[in-house]
Amino acid sequence: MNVLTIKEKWGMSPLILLCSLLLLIVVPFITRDNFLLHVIILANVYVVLSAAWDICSGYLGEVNLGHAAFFGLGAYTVAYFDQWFELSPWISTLIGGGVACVFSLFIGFTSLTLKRDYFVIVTIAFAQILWSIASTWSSVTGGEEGIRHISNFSSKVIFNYFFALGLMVVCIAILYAIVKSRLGRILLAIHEDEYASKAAGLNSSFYKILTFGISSFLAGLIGGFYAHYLGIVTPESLSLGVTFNVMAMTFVGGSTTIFGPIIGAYIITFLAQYLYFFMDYRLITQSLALLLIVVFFPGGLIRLIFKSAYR
Amino acid sequence: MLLETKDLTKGFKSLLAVNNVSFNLDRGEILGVIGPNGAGKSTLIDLISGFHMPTSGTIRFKEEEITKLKPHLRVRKRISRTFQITRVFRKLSVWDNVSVACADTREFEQGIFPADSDKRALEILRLLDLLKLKDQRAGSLNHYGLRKVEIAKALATRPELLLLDEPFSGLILDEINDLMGIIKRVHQMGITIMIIEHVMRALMNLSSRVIVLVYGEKIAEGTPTQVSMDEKVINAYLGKEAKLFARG
Amino acid sequence: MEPLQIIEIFISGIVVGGLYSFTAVGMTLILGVMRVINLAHGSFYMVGCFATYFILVQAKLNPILGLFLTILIVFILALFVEKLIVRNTKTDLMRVSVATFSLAMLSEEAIRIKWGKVYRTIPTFIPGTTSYYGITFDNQRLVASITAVLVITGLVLYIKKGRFGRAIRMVQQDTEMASLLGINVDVVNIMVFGIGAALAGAAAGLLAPLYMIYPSMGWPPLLKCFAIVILGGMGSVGGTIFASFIFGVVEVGTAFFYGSQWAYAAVFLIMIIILLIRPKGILGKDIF
Repeated sequence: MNVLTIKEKWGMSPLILLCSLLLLIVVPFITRDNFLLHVIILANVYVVLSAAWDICSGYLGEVNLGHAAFFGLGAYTVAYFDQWFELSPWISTLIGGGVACVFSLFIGFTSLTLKRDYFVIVTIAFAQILWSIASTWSSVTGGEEGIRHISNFSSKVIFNYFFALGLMVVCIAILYAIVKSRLGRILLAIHEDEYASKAAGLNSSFYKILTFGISSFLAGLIGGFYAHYLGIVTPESLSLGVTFNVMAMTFVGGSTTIFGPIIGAYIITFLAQYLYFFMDYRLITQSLALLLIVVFFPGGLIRLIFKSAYR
Repeated sequence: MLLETKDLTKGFKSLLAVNNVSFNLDRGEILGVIGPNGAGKSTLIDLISGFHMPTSGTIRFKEEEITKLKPHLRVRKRISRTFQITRVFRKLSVWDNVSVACADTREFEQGIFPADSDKRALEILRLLDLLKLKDQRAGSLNHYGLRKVEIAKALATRPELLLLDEPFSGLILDEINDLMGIIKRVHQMGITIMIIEHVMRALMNLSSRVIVLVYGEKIAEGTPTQVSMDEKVINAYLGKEAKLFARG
Repeated sequence: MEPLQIIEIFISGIVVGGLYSFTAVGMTLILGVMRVINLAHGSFYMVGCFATYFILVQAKLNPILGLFLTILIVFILALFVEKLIVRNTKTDLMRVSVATFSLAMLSEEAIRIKWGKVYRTIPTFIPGTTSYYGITFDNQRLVASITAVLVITGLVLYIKKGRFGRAIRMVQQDTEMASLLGINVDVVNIMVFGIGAALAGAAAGLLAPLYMIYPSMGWPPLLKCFAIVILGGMGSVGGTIFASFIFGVVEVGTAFFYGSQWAYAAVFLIMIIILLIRPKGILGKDIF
């Protein structure tokens, strides 16, 4: 898997970035199309999810197949805390991130010190068990129906739109800072040769657990937002479907990059939402496409387009 | 006394890779380790650097017992090593390889990136004559370049004891001379060195003292001259050749 | 709680464990020899179940023939999967995980589109029950379990004694050395993958009539196999068999006392406990 080097500076022309951001800011003022706004909000949610997934699974190489679990944990936490404690949605969202992070620390301690295969297995098992509990323990989790009437940040679409946009920008900025810093290169080093990184004095277990914790925190955070935005939370948010979407978006865009997941998230979210008449065949198309990409074009779109910046 | 091992033993099932090896290493020495292939020399380095745990015996470093200490913690105690088959981060640049090793977790945990680490990295690259290549992807370097990056990584952690595992293997004459110069300069910086090697010219030239391992046991110890005249050592090397010769 | 109940749970558990051992051994072979995590292993089982459904219910063929056909179908599918997908991606954990995951999704969706989400049943072909000392068993379940143990014993013997079995063991220990000694590692790999999947297919053929089948039925077996393999030790056939039995007993016991939905959580709990105490598993070797 080819990866960024210090040679390229931004990974994306600052001009393109700025233009895209401006475009996103301006959109709600030039259109009355609420559906479009909704799709962009959804895309932004998946941007955060995918980029967070990529930093753990792509950069660090610890493939987390239970990412949805942390997204869902954030969502359910928010639902409960709003009900029991009547907290402000801002605080409960943060707590959602925190709860997800705490669970990830527990999982991390048990499996990140072992061979990479174990982490894959434990994470997927964790997500499936949570999903199963959420679906069947109706008395506590509302079962398949989930929990309804979660308080909003605001009932106005515009507010949610800009909140999602802002949250996305902040999360991406955090991840970008990590990737560009020495921590980012430490992760790449551990990914490539953990033994050698230990010989170089790095406490690899610490960095692995740290990265997984950050990844899960962000997933839980955006999960909390999502629950507030939709007003309900269902076991669907814990399902393999979410993780599958994240995998597809990251890979289609290009893994082990920050901008790959962003591109992938937008493309797939828009396709999925606008081609709704195709809904029954969406998953099969997505899985076939992803399979082909993984086997034949593992670098993703961003490496096809921006050939010079990435190797 | 910097390093002391006592009756160090490492067994793998029925095979004793290292068998009751005891030796001392004083600060400022260069200790050479020689012996036929499979004699347990690399295992010895693995034991001292923490990548294997001994079956029995002790290792003391700077008066502290480190026998069971984890590898990255030994690095913090200032022991570094290189690997026989280079384990360089090929996907990172040369500069990144060294700067990643310069990260001291303690400082990171306190939110402070080591202020002098960039300076340190530059000095090391200059010492190893890698400055011009610093932005190049490590994987694109030739064999000697990789060797140097491997050593640079080991130096980045400010070791007091440097363990070199066959650094000269696969090098051509010019490179051997060049590396000998580098190792001498590293030594002049005050770093104690323990070096395993088969390239006799280099090892005998650099070492102030040599120990000889055969089948995991230390059979001789002394200055390079003493060891090369020791009958047991000659038998160990020549003996093998004589046997091969006899078998035709 | 009567002693009879405990015995019944225990024996039930052993029988269930025997059933699981088929698929679990398939997974441990692939993990041990090829060192590949195959997230589509449950899909092989699921596809096998639907193949059995098609053969027995829709084509109405003889059950024994059906079993062999199912195994054959799954085996051939697996050969293609290995050649096209696994071979290319197994060097990179991320790629192979995503690829096998996508494959699992793909097969689930393909089956769903063809047959719908409806839960279907296949009539058992070994009808009736047997009773010993007041404990009753379905004959189908009993026969399936005994067959599983026999087949696996045969497989283990073959691996230990047979020529091809020797080749497999050599590839597992040292791939490079094996190829230097003239063994075609690619062929060994593809065969091992095929056999591993075929075991899942065989399990499907025997078990499909016992439970309901539906497109997403592949995931629970996948996770249970993971738990069993971790418990028994990755790559160790003996450990996996032993672990299957333990697992069966725990599952039946948990379902009896707490209800079947918590059995799933018990799976996870076992996994975590093992990883904390003895990550190698009962008879496993390398973990780092």
